[in-house]
Amino acid sequence: MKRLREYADKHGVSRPVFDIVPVVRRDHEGASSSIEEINLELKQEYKYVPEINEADPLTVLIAKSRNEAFSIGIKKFTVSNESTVSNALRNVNEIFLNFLRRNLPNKQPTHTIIYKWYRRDFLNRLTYPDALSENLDNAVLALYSYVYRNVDDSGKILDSKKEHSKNIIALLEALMEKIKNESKKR
Amino acid sequence: MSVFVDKKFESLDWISQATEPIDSELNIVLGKMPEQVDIDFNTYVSIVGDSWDIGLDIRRAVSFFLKKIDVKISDYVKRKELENCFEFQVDGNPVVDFEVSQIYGGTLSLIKVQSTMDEKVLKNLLGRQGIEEVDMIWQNMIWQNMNIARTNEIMEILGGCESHLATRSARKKKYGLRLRLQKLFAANEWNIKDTELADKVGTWIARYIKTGDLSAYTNFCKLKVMTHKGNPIYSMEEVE
Repeated sequence: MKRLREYADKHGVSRPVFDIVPVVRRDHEGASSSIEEINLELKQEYKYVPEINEADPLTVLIAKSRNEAFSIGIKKFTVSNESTVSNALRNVNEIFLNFLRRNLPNKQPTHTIIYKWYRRDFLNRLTYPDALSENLDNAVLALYSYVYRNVDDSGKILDSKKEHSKNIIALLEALMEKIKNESKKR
Repeated sequence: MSVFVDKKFESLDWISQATEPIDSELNIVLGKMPEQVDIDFNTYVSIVGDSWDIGLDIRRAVSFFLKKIDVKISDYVKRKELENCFEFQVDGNPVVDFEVSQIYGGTLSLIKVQSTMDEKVLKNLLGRQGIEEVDMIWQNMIWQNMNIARTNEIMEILGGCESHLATRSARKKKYGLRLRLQKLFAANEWNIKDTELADKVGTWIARYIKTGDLSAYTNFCKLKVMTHKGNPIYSMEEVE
């Protein structure tokens, strides 16, 4: 997933400057209080906020998938780009599954072959060590962007885009077949 | 007789002899801990160590300073009571900046709010650790191998265990012994005024029942004899 890694590499991290926030505990009667614990809260002005371009769903995807962690050993925040890409792929999978669950015409959409494949096999194929071709990766991301623009938060196709539903299902099926064939060759 | 002399009690001043305060190593440890420590950046980082949790609590701070004065308190309850004597003080709006390795904008301190342990707290600690040791001897022993005869000897000396003496069940004897010791220390029937000595009662009992150690039995009996005078007991010359 070279493209996702390129997006992830563009981001920075927060600066490690924290406010000391005391946790005040009161006794049972409320007559006295004491501080037995101290928490550190990142100062808002030092928090890194990723730039999002609403026109490019991949920037939203990467921003949502980043998890920065503070390491006291090196006194810095770090973000693992590999973790960001893994999280992003999980989010891609999630959006495909939500779409299929809400838009397949079948009575039991979760029992269909296509749904089961996306639930069980999709992520394995994409995160395999000898990853699929770059073209296929780009096809996955392009389809993700297309689905993202045409569904609501629950995965249901927007009312104004109902005619696209069959197209998206057909594309998901085609992608599934392509990935299966590509994997068989390796 | 000199073998039953309480040297520690005799060395106390007349006020202490009159008021009979409970003595404990916790008071000595508390005395060694500083009254106030300003926590600078390096101290903060040292206390937190490699932990993923970069916040601070009294337990970690006190643990750090105990290590500094080379003191180890293995008992969790005693450590907790020691921690209750401390709290944090925050002045201003301090900020921890890991980029420049400083705390600025205010101060963070650890302060001692009690210079001596509360008498009520020490009273509750009397014999507690020893009773836990008595409980532990059955964890590693199969019930059938438990020495009933030695347990009965201890219960006879303790007194007040008639109903559990009669039973042949090892499990019931264990519960009876624990109950008796809990009652004994709750009312402090033996008037023991030193928490370490009180804990040794359980240690001696456990060692004698488990291994038949005669020195442990002798110490236990000696202490029982000393209770007959009715005086507070601070120390006892132990047999090794």
